[in-house]
Amino acid sequence: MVSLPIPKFLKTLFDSFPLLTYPANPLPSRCPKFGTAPSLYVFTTPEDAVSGNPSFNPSCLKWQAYLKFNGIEFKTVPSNNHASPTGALPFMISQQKSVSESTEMTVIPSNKLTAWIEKHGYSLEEADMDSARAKAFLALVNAQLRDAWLYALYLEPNNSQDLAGVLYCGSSVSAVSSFLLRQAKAGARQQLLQAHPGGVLDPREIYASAGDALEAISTILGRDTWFFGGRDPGLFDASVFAYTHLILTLRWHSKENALLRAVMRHDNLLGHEKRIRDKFFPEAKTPDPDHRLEG
Amino acid sequence: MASSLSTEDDVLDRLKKNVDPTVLSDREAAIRKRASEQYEKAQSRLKDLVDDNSTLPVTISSINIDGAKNTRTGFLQKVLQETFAKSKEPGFTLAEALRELSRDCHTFSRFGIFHQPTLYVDLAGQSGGKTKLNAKITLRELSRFILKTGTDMGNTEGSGYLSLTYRNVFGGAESLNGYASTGTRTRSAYEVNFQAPVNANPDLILEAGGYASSRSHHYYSSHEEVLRGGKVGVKWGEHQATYNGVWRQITGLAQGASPTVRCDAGDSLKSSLRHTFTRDRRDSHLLPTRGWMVRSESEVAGWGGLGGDVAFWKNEMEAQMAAPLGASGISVSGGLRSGLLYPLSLGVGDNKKPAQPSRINDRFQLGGPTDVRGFRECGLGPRDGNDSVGGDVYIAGGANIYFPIPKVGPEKPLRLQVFANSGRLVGLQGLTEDGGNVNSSVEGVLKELGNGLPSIAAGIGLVYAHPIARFELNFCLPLVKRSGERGRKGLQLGIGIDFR
Repeated sequence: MVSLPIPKFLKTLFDSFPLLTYPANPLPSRCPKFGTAPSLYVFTTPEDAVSGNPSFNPSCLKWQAYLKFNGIEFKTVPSNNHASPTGALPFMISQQKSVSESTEMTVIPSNKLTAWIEKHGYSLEEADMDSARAKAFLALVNAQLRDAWLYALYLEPNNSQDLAGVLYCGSSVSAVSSFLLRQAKAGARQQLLQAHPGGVLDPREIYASAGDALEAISTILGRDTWFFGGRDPGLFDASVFAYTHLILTLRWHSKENALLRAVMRHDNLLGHEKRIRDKFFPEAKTPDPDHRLEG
Repeated sequence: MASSLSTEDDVLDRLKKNVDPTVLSDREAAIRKRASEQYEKAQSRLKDLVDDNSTLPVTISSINIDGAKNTRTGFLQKVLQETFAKSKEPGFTLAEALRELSRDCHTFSRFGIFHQPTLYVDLAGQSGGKTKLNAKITLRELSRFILKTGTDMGNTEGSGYLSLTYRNVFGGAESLNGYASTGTRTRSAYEVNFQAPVNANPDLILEAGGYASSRSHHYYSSHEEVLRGGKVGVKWGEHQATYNGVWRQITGLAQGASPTVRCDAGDSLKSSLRHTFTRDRRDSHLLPTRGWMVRSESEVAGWGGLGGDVAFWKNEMEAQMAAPLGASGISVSGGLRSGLLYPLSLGVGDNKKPAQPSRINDRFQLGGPTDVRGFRECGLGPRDGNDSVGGDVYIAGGANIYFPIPKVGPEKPLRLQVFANSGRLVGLQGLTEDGGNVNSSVEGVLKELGNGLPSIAAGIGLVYAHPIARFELNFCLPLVKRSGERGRKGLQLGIGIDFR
């Protein structure tokens, strides 16, 4: 752009326009209104969002639990991946007082949540997550357990129809639902193939390594209340709870519940899940004993 | 191959569509003038002949159709049916016969599958005190396949397109059209469309089609919208009624997208019935100097058994008028339009959900160089951060005075314009997911429309009505606005086909 010098009188004249400025138009009804409490955007049902019940997605539940551990007041908002700045839930929108006293909304993606919580939460006496040991176990959860979760939810035929289809791909038109489910299944398969190169996914192998991972996690917990001997639950507790709670409460198809059976083998993990549920999610669904027996 | 087929038709189509004679070059005008003089002379000779014999009782004994090799006989017969029926009536005269036959020729030409038909009438003796006529209509079919590529100028968007048309598919003036385009804002758009006249009537057309598109709305609202849908409809005269089922996805959000856009991101389904009515009596739609136009558009979505997950009644009305000021070449035009989105309850019976507040892709947007000048595109109405989030009710209007340019004259489609326009776009308040009183919310918003002056801008500029699009270069100043609304001070360029 070529910028020409503007004569001063013209500039003053220009600056007097518009001659009249009214206050801003109020936003339409559907636009979200923000109070002082931040909003965590997660996969959840509208009912569960109101009561603050656990999200049905492990990554979302992990952060939801960790925020609760930190005593941060927040509300959950039902959302989907299209809304997220990273392309994946969760993310948080929080009001920030800027210098000019006007409030500004900031969007915090999940990878910046730890830093944000550190600034706004209690200082917990949780275990140090930077140690090599903690990192190795976190990798177990994020790889082996996650792979088995993806397989069980999306690639087991009945589960994918009755669980993934309903939870993630609900739509009032069945053609759209099945298109979305097909997309989700392809996405899950692609993610699994990245971890299991060779083009073949063997469920026995995937479930077996998840079983080994749970075994290792159970051993490391031992008789402690929280992982790594922390006095308060930490991010690792949240990561494990996110899977164990969902594995225990989801209504898996009886022939496709290998993960449920694997978790059931470890009493201390069941106790860990119950401790967190009782303390932080008192209204959450409890694991259904009858359903467990079917396994 | 295909493109060489199309050239000839292309030129003819363009000549036919070229309704604005002022843009023809002088030479073409001269040729036209000579041709029309000859035509008029022939016509007046014919007229004398017909006038002398206009009351002659006649009957049409046969109509020969020539050159319609790909068109079904049944289809041609249906067009001529009425003429034969009338010709059997006792008082049928020569004048009526000629009127009927030329009406048939006109009907043929309106299907868009023939070149201009020619009519020849001959005497075939006497029978029962009536003169028998033999008519011959010579048709020349347009080529059946047309492949076109080119560039389109939409409202402030440039795009390239590829379109393939298969005309007269089953020999009854049906057409199948495939269209693909990509542009500055349309990342991709595909459409397949089938049209067929009902009962060989060019005024009653059935339409069915499917489409998929992906459009960027980043320039005003930080998102993209992906559409996949289908529609069936019927066009009769100035009316059009359509059923539309579409899956919409708001995705590809910008980093700085506002909470409002984030809240509406994802999938939604619209299942709706729409009716439009347009009556256009303007001399040109790009630069009208006389005449008027009214348009109304109503849409009902998700109501009763329609399904989908959005429910509303949406109505838009528009009126435009233009008139010359004496013989000065100066003309004035004015327009007024309004829109309302009224949320409805979704579904029926036990699944009935209370009326929901509207989503960003259903709400109206207002402002821009082809819309309310002096404001940026979609720059009016409620805003969240950097995003125009749209409104549920709007009213907008404007007035222009067009002056011919000295030494260029009023014949050329070039004008100097002085304009003032205004608009107001507001959102319904007080509705929640659990419902709320829609009527009192609408009342409130209508009251808000009258609260203070609307947002106003005025300016002066040049207008050029090229046959494919109208160009405007204006100097504008916003006079009144709402805080946050994006005015455009200084020069503003507008290119489009649909100016308000």
